[in-house]
Amino acid sequence: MPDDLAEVYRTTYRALVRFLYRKVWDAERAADLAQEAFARAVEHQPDNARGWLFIVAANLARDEARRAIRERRHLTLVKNEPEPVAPAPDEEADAATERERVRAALDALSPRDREALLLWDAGLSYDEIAAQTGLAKGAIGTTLARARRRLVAAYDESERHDVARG
Amino acid sequence: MSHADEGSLHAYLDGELTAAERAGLEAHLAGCATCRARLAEERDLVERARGLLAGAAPPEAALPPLRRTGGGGRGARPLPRWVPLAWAASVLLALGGGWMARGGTRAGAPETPGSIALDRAEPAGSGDSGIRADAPVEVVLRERDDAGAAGATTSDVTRGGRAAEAKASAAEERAAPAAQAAAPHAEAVGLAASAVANADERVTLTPVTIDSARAILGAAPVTIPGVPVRRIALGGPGIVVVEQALDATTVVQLYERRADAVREVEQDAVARQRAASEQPRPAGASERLARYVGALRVEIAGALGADSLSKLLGRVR
Repeated sequence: MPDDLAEVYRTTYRALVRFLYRKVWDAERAADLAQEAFARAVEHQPDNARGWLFIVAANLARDEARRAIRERRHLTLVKNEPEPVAPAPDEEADAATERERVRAALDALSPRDREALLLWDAGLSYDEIAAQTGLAKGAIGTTLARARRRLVAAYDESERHDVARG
Repeated sequence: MSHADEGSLHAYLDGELTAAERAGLEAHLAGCATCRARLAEERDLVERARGLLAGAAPPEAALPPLRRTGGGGRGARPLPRWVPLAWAASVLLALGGGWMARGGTRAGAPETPGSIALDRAEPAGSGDSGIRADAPVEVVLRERDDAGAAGATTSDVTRGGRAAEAKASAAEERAAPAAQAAAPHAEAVGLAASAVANADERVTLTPVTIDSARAILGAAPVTIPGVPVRRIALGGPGIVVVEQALDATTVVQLYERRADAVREVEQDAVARQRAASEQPRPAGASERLARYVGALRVEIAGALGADSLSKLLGRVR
């Protein structure tokens, strides 16, 4: 059903990129992985393409993370000299700091809470999140409540730290 | 009713309660100041979390064309994988007068008339066919990694319309032919061999109808006579790909674009080539890049047995 898939692509692509971005933290990689997920969907023609795509995307991101770790290791073996970092403009630096804080705050969540929150933020419904995570639908509200609370608390805490350090 | 739990409050704020649940909760809230205060807190929390995540979102980008890359196969019969990484070997085969050269060097200019026999799917009256008859034709032979699992797919056959959404990038990606190569078959058949280098090259193939293809090209797409057409697809903006199954394991792709679009694409290719120049490329690859993007491009994917090759060559001659 490529027509259906084309529709899913139109409506879900950006959400999928958003979801993936919070996992790989690289916009281009996120777009690549989203494309890859859709390419696989074209081949597999899954019944519930949208849910299927998020599952594949999550798996791709996990593989990607493993690969990134391997590459980093490799890089540290190859490269001894630290690379000079060009100073970024203030605005950019602020955005990067903000992103890093959110990223760290997300890392403070349990994997399941984080997954539920990222799926919700990508636009999935409670039903879809339940199917994806294996949680009961009735537990999604509680899971999201906990995830949001921890996210905000972890973020605020890191901000306090930074302020304290000056 | 006892006080509302936070899960219900969040589900309520997320619009995820059933009508009955919502009515029950609202009835309780109406009479419970404690829960109303908590609801307000949870609403703030939901907003803050949303705001934080928004601060860590990727930049909004236009919807790119759907690339067709290899994933796992469907069942036991995967489609040919077009990702170069998956190819065991690639052979570039130049057909036509001055285009034929040995040892990876090219003698002819792209203007050199090709001698390949190709037909329009329908000899439409709009005919700029003179241009195409003279067009250089490039045949790319690719060996697939899953040679055993070939077979025509029916699910990808032409379906209408949305292909038009495909935009940008694909053309350039497609236009970059890959690099020098070592092809064992090449010398045997006396062809100019070159290789596919750009491992990141991805291919977009969005099925289109014959009518769309005609609209894009201003004429019916070129086909190899006597070979069944597997599908017609969009290979990028303004590029029509006709895929024909030579036999069970070999697929031919003809890339065609409007004659008047060629110049523009060539410029794109040059720009792209500059952008890519920081990456190591085999010498000569960049020159070919600019040259090959002319009118028509033929690709063949499949397990290339010697007989497939000669069969093809027989067909083409």
